Amino acid sequence: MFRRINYFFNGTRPRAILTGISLFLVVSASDYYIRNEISIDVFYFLPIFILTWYGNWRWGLGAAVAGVFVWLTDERLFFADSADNFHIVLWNAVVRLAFFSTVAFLINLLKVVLARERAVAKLKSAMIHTVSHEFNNALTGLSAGLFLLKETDQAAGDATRDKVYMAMEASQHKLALYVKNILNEARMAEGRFTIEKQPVALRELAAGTVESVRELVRQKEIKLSLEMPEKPVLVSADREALALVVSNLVGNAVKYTKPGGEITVRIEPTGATPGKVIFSVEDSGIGISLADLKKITTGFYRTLEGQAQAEGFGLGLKIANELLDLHGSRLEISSEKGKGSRFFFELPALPADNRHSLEHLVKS
Amino acid sequence: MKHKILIVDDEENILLVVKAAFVSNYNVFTATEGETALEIIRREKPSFVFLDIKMPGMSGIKVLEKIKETGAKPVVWMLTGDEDMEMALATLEGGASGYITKPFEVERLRAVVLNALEDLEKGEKGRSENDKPWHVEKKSGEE
Repeated sequence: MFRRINYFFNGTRPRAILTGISLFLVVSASDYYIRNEISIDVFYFLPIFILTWYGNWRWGLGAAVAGVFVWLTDERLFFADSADNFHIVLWNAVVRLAFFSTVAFLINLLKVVLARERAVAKLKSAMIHTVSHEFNNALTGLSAGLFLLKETDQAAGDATRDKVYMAMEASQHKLALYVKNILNEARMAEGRFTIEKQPVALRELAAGTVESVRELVRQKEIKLSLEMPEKPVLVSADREALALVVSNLVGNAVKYTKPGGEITVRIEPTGATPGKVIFSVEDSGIGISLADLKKITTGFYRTLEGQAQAEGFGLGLKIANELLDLHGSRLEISSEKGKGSRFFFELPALPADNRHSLEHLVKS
Repeated sequence: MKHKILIVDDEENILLVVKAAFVSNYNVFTATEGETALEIIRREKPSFVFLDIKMPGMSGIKVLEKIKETGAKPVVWMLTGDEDMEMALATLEGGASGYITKPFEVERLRAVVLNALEDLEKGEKGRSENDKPWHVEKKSGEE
């Protein structure tokens, strides 16, 4: 309703105040004529609300006091034939004043609090954007620099150097994922995250993500297997968003699987028509208890076992779930504590004869 | 003759690495702000420009506008953090051929330049169709 009122006044304060005053006049006139039969005090609320909200507390208080004076014009006050009536009128006026001015005060308070809230939210989002801008710049310098160093390395092939490069790349991927998650979370909170669907080659996207964690997987001696269809799988999705979902799921699996464990990344058709595919990441990790399952997609929640195992904010799954939600899908989890977890989601598959050439999608 | 490339970004470190990525095959110029960039464009008429959107002083969007006044017609790709995607999309209307979000991969930058300059030599300058390897970045420009 607020939005509709705001739309009506369209930010023009004079128009709103004029409306408030007119309403006040209508209410007070009706009050003046019919007050003795029925009480319409409560209708003063509307002009007081409008005047306080769109004007300020002075306007609101003014309306409250004016409303009291309307009451005081009661002829009984001046031509009182008994002292009793006089006191009743006066008492009613005081009650009225208290009621009206409380309303004005509360609405003003609400207005102030909301304005402060909005300012804080604005500051927060500005801060996040600045930070992420700086982070992305710094990351760019690091990743591009690393690439060029590797490319021009005179001692290429040296095992120690290769290890260092891989470690640096792994850290860089991790950092990039964090920045993306935080930024997307901020964007979601502001409600200005939009996705742009296009055909995405899911198989290649998954393979690329797996490639970026290869080094970590090797270090932890985890057995990572990919089970993918022979043919490319096209889904309609926002490429960036889907990549973020996949890397969150794969990244989580690597994070929470103990050395020597197993991870399986699988893409399989559901067999339903129209065609759908299930993307799943299965791990032999620490598992999640039933009670925790409900909480982990709410954000900033991490299970005790999870906290013991690895660092993080607990944002990954929340974001994955939200991004999938924007695609009309959702993140599903089956897990048993101590026996590993399976994270999966469904997306509608596109027929392969799409106008976008398959070949180039696979390449990109 | 080597093609001329101009890189505009207020972050010196980024200029440094991007320059390093191209210096062996191209004639690379760099600028940390709009005025200098426009001056170089006027003087050198580079065939390709990487242009950062968010810069203190003159923004990349403003620079993009003013490039038209210089008479030079370089292929322009915007560099942007992924926090200002809306702005990046707007630059496609303003004449940019595409945009690349930071952090980017050096290989991607190279592919973009290579393709753009190939097109240029073939005479079909500027925005190209869907089936190019860098199609992914051109989210909205392509439809």
